[in-house]
Amino acid sequence: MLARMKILVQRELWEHKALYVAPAVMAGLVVFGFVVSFVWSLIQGVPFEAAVAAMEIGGQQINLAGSAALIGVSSGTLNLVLAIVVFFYAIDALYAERKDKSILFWRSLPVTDTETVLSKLLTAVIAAPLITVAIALVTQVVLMVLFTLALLVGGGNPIDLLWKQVPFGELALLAVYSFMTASLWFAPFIGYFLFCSSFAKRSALIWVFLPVTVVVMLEGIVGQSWNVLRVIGERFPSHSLAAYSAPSGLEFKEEDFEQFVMGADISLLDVMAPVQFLTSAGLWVGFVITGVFLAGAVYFRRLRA
Amino acid sequence: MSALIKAAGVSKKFGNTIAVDDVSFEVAPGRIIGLIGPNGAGKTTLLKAVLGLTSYEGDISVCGLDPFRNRRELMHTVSYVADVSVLPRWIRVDQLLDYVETLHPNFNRSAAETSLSRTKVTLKDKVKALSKGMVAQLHLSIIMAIDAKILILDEPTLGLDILFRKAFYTELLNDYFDDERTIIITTHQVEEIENILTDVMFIDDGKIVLNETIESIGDRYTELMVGPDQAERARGFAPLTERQVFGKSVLTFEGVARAELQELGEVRTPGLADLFVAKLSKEVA
Repeated sequence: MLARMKILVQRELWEHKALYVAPAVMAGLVVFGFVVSFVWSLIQGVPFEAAVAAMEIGGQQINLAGSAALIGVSSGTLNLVLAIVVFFYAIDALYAERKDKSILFWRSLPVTDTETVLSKLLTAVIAAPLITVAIALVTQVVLMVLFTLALLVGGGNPIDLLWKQVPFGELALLAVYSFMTASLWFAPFIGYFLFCSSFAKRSALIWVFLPVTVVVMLEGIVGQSWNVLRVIGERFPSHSLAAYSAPSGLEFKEEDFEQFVMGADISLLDVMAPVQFLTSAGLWVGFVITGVFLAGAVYFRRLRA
Repeated sequence: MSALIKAAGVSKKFGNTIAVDDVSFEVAPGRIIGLIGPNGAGKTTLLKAVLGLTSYEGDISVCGLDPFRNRRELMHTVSYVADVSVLPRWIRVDQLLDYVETLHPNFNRSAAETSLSRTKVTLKDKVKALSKGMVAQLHLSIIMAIDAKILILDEPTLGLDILFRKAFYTELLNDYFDDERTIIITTHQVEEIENILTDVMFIDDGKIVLNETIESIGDRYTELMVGPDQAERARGFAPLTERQVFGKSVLTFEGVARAELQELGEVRTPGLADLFVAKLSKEVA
């Protein structure tokens, strides 16, 4: 069973190389940007010693701010890339096989439509984010090595100034957590994209936006209300509410972030709230909606072959 | 042995068009059946119903399974080529073999690789880099490495050259076919498969108009070539069709004793293509 699902997901990755190529290229660009600015600074004779001295005085604050920037640059950028490639993957996943007629071959093998559709969901919701977060972590290690080099040039001690300061294990865990919770949270969107791609006669792109736009506009004109838009919109910020907690309570406030940056004794792990996330109604409502869209996608794949 | 495929009262409508019209038939193991019909006769729709690829009215049982409900189980024992140009273009040959090997319990990878080693296809080739003939060879190598009870080939050699077609049918007969297996083939090139078939089914306008073993065709149908002097007498036996060849008349008869016709002229068993034309033009009339 596991071997079957593994090869089905593998198949998706063979076909849709953008799922790992695009994040890898973006990570390469980030690293390249740092290398260029490092080399450029060397050529320009930027006084690394002064920067190192400032770090020795500023201590933990600067270093933690630096590590926050590290997450921001690698994880944040790659998260955006992931969202884009997964979107295009999902609207193509069940459409391309009809377009190139390869569905006639796939369906000649003993694989059910449910297995196939499920493998496409798993690719988008589990495999793609795992690959991206792995790339993000490698990028962070490479960036740390670059910072180490910069510190050495400035005559600082990279062990004290960097490696002891940055909670690398915690950062990595937080990165995996944030990628995976976000992905599970947005599963109903992926379910909807897969559903659109299962019946679209031409591109699924129009089906993704048209019905939603029409429904929202109808509600606006007829009902003078914007509930549909609100429900969709609320899905976005509420992810952080469900998946994370802050030391001062359930709401993540600005002073928490300041405390964090200012080096208060907070473990990054305290920010994660997996139990709260896994028991949140929003997540499970999302799963039910995802299930409904997948059932629709299976139905169409079976009939539209 | 009992029938592999049983179809009873099978119909399929698309809107107001009736693609398959109340068709019933049985297929025994160890047969090679030619399913022959003009374009739009309902061949592909009928095969799709047998393969569980489309819904239908009536009953079909394939190896004891309901094809539409149990498609996955069915695909363990039935393999088919719907069209030879449907392999995904982005895949590599070794990836394709990995995929089929993992998902198909009756796939014999080394048999497929042996068969491919006789072609120009290598394991590291991408499908899009292969010529049309090579893609067909790849597809057929995979399908023939599956230990299936029923093999269904819908126009397996369409668009391929004569050398390939000959080699393919020879391999099919010598290496693949045995007493346990049944092969169903549709093709427009009837003459090429005529000599390997054990049975033939003609389908026209959604109905089966002929379903015979090849031996019984010789008993039942006779083609007579007569000079103009005997033509009138020959027409007295109510031929299905008559055509003119080099100033002589060629008439096809159904259920007329060969001995009686022999007195009039040259007698032989009609070719499938001629019989097809005879049966179908009678339908039209």
